[in-house]
Amino acid sequence: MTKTATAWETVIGLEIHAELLTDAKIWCGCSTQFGNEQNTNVCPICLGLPGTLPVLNQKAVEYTIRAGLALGCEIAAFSKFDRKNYFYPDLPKAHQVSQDDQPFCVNGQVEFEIDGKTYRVGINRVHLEEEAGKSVHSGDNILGSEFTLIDYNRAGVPLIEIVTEPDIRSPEEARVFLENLRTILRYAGVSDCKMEEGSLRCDANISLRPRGSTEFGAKVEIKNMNSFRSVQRALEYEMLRQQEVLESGGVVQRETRHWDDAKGRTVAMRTKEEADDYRYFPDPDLPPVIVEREWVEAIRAELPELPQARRRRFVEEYGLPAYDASILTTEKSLADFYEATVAEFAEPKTVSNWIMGEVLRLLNETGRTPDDIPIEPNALAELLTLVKKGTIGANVGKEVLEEMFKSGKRAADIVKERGLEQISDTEQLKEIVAEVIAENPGPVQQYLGGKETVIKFLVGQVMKKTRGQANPTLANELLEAALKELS
Amino acid sequence: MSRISKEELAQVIYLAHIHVAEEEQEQLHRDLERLLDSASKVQEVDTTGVEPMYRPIPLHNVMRPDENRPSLAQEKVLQNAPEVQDGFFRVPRILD
Repeated sequence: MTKTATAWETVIGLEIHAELLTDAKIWCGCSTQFGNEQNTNVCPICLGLPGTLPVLNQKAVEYTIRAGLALGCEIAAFSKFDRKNYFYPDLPKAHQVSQDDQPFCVNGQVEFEIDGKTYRVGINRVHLEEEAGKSVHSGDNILGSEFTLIDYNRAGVPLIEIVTEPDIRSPEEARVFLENLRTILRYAGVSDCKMEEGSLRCDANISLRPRGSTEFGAKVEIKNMNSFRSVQRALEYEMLRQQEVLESGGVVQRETRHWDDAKGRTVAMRTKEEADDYRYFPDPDLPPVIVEREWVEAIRAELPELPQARRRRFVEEYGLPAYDASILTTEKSLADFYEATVAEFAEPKTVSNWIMGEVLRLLNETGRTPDDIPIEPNALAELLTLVKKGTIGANVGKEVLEEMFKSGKRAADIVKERGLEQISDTEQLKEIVAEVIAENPGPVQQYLGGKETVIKFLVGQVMKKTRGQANPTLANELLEAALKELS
Repeated sequence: MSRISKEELAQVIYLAHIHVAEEEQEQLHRDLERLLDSASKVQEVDTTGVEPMYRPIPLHNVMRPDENRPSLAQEKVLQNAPEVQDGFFRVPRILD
């Protein structure tokens, strides 16, 4: 009997690497800046030359602990570094300094919602390690290349590895978890989490098991996913592939597979016949770290309000819908901008509508992120005040905002320069209303014949004549009054 | 008693990325057996409840502030490289 799709339970665990936002590398003073000329942020320590001694960057440890706290982890009182031994040319020392059995952070969790349902994913550990260099393959792909070029600028950039528990049950859950994790790390200020620059990377383990079973099936590791969307797509592909293998009576191979984003499929890389033998041992060059509780508390005190708490507060304090709250809090800078605007213009929902609609649209169109909104919160508040007072209409307000984004000018100045004040002068509008009635006998007859929705067309004509500057409410009133006199 | 099998020896050679000729492997095997024999003495000590010592020098929390210091010039970085191309180290192609 063929099992249905629901006969299988999908089990997913993720391994996330995030580069830390320190100025200097983990063991030396070389810059961590992305995009510099190849092999120019490199020193003898990065190269692991004989006689060099690495010294731990304190901020890398603090950021690791900060990440751990933001993810609800316990912080170890004692932690140490270990060498993970393997040969690969992007690793100049032939080992990577990492943490084996005593990581800085363990036992955390991330909570998030999908369509109102709450999910929890356990964090097994967060440890600190060093980045490897970057390999550039000649030719179109790794198989076709004759040689490999290496840039060690990245070697030694501090990196945290976050390992989840196998708590994730669907590819969508995996993507939403990652989005939430990214938001948390960015709020904590420990990583910029740019997948396109490689400062956030994700590998996934996925296996299937008969629903109800408590044992895990053979797991497949997927690599080379370059966006949150590709993580979801790769897992969806792999879930169906494994299901087909199992339902045709086959056995899923424990292996590493490579995601091919263009072709939309995973390809086997190598079969893990035996466990990797990294021969971890404590790094003799690096003394262990004793983490005093006062240190942990000092780091905790630096943490800002985290996204989930802020989301809840936005709903409670500002009476925002959950949807608004979740959009506004995806980036700390956007949430800060929102709150600063509301402090100056106390209509939370109006501010939310303008930010979610116009501000985000303009950011998108100008290729900016919420980190570089080109106007100040009080400038937006001023604009909203002009709209509220009726000085300008909402649609003109949108144009003014666009101009503010371009020129950085204040709303009031733009309105004055361009003569955009809304026409709320009754006498002036009455004349225009009379013109519109005279010029549109057909619609006027329709209205008088009982088709009252035609008034919208007539208001539109008034707006057109005034190039959008008529106060629409007033225009509507005056039209109704004038038409009444005709009937 | 054999402490290390032929297969284990082959695995060690593989992990170390070294080439050992067939005739040398016999000798290497004997040497390793002897070394492991000596080391096995240490294993007889009962270490139940003894905290592992990671390093002989009682140091901890040796850290430096997050400050940039000058890196090497690119030509210095590359001066010991067997092969160089366009400011990169050039190595034989990597296959997993």
